Amino acid sequence: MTIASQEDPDSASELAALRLELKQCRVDLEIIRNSEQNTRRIAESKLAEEQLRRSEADLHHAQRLTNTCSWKHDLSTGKVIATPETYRIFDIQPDEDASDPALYFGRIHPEDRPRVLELFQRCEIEKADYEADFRIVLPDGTVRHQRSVGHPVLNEAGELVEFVGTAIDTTEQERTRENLERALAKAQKTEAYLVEAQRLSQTGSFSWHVATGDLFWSDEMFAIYEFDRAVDLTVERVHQRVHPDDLPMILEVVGQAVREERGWELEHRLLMPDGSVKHLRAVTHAEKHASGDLEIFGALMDVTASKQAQERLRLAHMELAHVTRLTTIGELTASIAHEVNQPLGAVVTNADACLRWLNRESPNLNEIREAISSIIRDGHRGSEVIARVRALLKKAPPEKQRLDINTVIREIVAMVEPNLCGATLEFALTDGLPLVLGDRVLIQQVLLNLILNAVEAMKLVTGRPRLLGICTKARDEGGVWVRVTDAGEGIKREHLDRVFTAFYTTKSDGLGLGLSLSRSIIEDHGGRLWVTSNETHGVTFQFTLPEKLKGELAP
Amino acid sequence: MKPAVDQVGSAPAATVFVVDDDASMREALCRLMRSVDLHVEPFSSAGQFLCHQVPETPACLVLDVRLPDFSGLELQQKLAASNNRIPIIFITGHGDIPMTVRAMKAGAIEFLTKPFRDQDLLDAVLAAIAKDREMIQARAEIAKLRRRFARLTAREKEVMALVVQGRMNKQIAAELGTSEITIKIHRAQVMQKMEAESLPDLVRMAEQVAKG
Repeated sequence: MTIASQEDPDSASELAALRLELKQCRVDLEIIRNSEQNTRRIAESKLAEEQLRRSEADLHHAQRLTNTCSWKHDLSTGKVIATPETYRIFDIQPDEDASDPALYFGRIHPEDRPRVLELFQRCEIEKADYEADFRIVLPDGTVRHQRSVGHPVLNEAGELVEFVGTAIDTTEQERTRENLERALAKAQKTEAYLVEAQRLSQTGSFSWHVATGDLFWSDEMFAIYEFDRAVDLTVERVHQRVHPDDLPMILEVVGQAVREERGWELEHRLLMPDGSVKHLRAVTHAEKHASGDLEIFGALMDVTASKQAQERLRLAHMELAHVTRLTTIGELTASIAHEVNQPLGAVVTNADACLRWLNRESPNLNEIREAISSIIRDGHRGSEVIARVRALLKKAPPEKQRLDINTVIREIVAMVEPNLCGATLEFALTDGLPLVLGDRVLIQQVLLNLILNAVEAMKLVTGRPRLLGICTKARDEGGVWVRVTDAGEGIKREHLDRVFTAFYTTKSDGLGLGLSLSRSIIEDHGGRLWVTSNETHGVTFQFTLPEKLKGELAP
Repeated sequence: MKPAVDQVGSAPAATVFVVDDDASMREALCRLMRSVDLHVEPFSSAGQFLCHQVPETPACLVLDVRLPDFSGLELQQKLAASNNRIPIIFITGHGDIPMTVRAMKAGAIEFLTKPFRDQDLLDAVLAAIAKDREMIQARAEIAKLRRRFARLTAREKEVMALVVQGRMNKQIAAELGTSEITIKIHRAQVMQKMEAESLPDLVRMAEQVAKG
């Protein structure tokens, strides 16, 4: 400045102008600078805005995806500011005032509303956080579940300014939870039923992981084996309970099934510590895991009671068969007496003749020799008859042996022959039949029954021969086939099936048990007994007997 | 028929027919009969026996009740129907009272249940043979009388019929419309031809001829 005062006024005014200009420049510069700053600021704020918009969009997406909304309740203005997802969750319509808290409170389910509002008020007073689960009812009536979390915001003075919070739509979770609960309840119920059913049916279920030896047992399994639940289950321990006679068979059956990776069906016994025996029946199936390990799933039933009942039934049945046999044989007394007296008469007569020949002056040794041979023969014949009758009369458990059916038939026919009442026997017995497995006495009882029935049916027949045919043949499927044909009165078609019913009889003095018993005897032998009408007269009873019985697993 | 050394019976030789389906019993019976020198012929069925010609010598039938074709009782009926009166001894393995009564009513000699005492059977057989012999003799007697009777003329038969009724010659003459003397001649012819020794003798003969 000092320099300018020493110079001329022109230059001073020029200086002043320059100064002004400079000042202007400075201002301009400042303006420019400001404007640059502004521009930068604008740009920055635009960027920030963009970022905000983006994060808002992200938030919106996030809220949308998670069914979450957030809001702010300004207590000074009483207004609500909320995210768009809030409107969606609460189903706020464009014409509704989205800032009015009452709108939101109004959506709360009437049953939940008092509780929720009370909670809000309390938290406002206590300036505390809250968390609430409640239902909201949308205008269309849909009910949705919601979890709401709120947080009080205080100013520097510690006064409550606003509440901020988020709410999550938990309808899906709630539904899932309910479904789960229902499923769980159902599963519990089912399990209870299952336990009860297992207890009632005395059926246990188990699984066995073959490779690890892990066993899983249902309660009933423990009850059947009479193991304490606390016991450490091992295959060895289980095997110790098995009846020693059955164990080798079990090991074989199970071993083979496991090798072939399949299940098995098995009946076996347990020998309990008190010496009692239980009969079990197991059915299993095998499943192969992805790992290649084999797991066996099975059900095991305590069939002791049914076995015992079966045994009692079998005994009762045998008793009945025996009594019926006695009755039938009672009808045959005349025949039997005749059969016994025949050889006896011959013995006595031969012996008498023998004595007379001996007492003669010149005994005829040939006559004497022949008489004595004949006596020996008849003695044996008589004892055979008695043995046959005794066999039929005896009450012994069925004894299955290999039988030649033709011999069995001939023996019984010899016994009934005198009882044929004028019927003529026609035999067609095939030689070389396979032997069948059966109880001689029981099969003879069946034959006796069929023959006596045939005779009875032909009793009143006149004008045609009373033919009684007995025929045997080998069956293609193995075993034999026996046919007893009569030329009697026949059986009405509608009665054909009923003849096998117990207590069905056409005889005035019959019990009606013969055929029903005969059928069960034959079926017990694995065969079949049935009846058909003949083309001309009478009926044909036929039965089959297999060569061997169906293999029984356990005695 | 071979002549038997008849120990028990007297000539002519008797035959025992045995019908039993049981071979052993049949042979035993035959052996027993042979031991007492009875001639015996075995049959295994009633039908077989029916086909056999029964000789006019003393015989009896030892018959089993139960037979394969028809029963002994039925055979008894058939024989009676064909006027064969051979004495029958029934034997049975098991006899009941109705069966026995039926057999005995139909004229059986005996009904024995097996086993029986040999003496009982032999007694019955001998009794039967004796009865048969008597019957044969009676039949022979009747046949003889019939032959004599057949020789009478029709008038002589008329006269005989009235004589055996005890009529006097006079009454007979009146009835037949002839003279008493003629009746006397006829009567003498009758007595001679019938070989009657007396009137009671002739009456007995007339009864025999009239019998069957």
